[in-house]
Amino acid sequence: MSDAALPTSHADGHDDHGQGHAHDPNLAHHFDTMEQQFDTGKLGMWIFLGTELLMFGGLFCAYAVYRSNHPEVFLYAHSYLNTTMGAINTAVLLASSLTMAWGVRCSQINKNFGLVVCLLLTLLGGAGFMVIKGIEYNSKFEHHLAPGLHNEYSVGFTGDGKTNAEGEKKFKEDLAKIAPATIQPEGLARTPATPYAYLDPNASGGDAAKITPKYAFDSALVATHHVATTPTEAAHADAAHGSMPFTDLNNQLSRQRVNTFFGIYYCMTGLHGIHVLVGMGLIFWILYRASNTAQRLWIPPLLPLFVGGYLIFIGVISHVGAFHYVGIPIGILGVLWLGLRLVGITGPKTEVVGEFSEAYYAPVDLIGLYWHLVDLIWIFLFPLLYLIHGKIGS
Amino acid sequence: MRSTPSIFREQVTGAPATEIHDSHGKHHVHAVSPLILVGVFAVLMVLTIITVAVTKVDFGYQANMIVALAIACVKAFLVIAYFMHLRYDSLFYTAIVGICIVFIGVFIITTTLDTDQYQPLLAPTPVTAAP
Repeated sequence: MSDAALPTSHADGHDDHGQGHAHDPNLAHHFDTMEQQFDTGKLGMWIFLGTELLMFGGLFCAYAVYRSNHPEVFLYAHSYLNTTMGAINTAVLLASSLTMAWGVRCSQINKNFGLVVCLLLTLLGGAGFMVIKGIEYNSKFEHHLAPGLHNEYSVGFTGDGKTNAEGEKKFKEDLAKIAPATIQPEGLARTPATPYAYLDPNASGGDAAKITPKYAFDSALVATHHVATTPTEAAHADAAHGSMPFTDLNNQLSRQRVNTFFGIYYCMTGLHGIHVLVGMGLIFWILYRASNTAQRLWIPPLLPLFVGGYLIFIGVISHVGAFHYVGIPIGILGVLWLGLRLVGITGPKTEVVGEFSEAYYAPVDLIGLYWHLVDLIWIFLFPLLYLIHGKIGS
Repeated sequence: MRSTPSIFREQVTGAPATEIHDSHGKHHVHAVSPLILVGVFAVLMVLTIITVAVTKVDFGYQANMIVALAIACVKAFLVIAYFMHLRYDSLFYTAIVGICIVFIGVFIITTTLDTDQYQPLLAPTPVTAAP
């Protein structure tokens, strides 16, 4: 487990302009010095990170506009999000950021074994994040809160997650009833106490008078946010009384707005999840380069890890417990095997020597920057999506 | 402490490659100390706990969001400055990030100001008429 450094220079075979002038094998020919190469790479990565920030900035702008226009929708719909899982995800991503930064440090001081361990831990953190996200998404899909029309708050929803000709027809009828409602008499203030006279209160059909909490967190929301549950209460719900003016969820206009919240949620967290996966792929590439070119100690244990992980995934999707019982032990076996190989107890006795050293650590540094950006975006996503609270109008 | 990127320093341009001697151009490698890394991580975890805990207190709908965003900004600053190494790098990179943040701010603030003007025109939240 010693830390060997690559030689920083050696004579190579190709033309050195007849001066005995040697250069680092990692120096590309269109650069004059290693320093120039490094600084150019760093500039390129920071410009790219700037474009990523601007892209997510656009999404945050959509969030800001929609939330400022429909605060009650956000207050209601966010109760479907599991705050605990979101917080755990934040902690996991922060820890993976720490291990990534530590890995960069290891590469800078020629500690290659430390680098490999740190990169593996970062990969583990990223995988853990995606697993928790998958659990969250899965539970949402089960509750008919998927994106688009497969969402029970979507006007075209027919109950089984699929749309059909009847659902389309109903959607058009509902829309015809909703459309006239968007024409505002001049000077109509945005106060819920004004009866919405030109919208037939029975248009939605069925029980429009009372909210029936369907899930546990619905009850909690009703209990803590003073949501009006009867039409009389709703008529008096306004800012002065600190009540939530948003009442009748059977009303089609309101239901559509909840669907849009989930659209924003899935777009932002989904795109972020894709960035996590891309980052994990890049880290895997760096890990490969950082390991001994002759023997990659950690590749054989990956097989049980992948098999176990895939079985667990099948178990989650199909809800068959047997897959879990088989997949989890296989996965644990893979992790143990990996750990033993890394610390040198099992496996071929060889140093972990790789491409990176004090002279050339740029890829580790730059991919570390990308990973930190992924963490940064989640730092903002978490409070904005998961931690919405307060009384409207206060 | 902060080094100037070589792209800004005067290059030996126009000279044939044979005259460049220090191709190893070893710049000062600054590795962040593990103490700082762990310390920043600890502060980030504490701030995360505070972010969740502060939801128990109600400052008002608008203020709640501002408080949460303020804590998020502190966390973001720590990640950018220490994990992403900007604290020790040339100010040029800080300028890039700063300019991006300024333009994101312009985008969100002007759009929000604009949409606020349309509040009176929004369809009021529907309320079923009293029976």
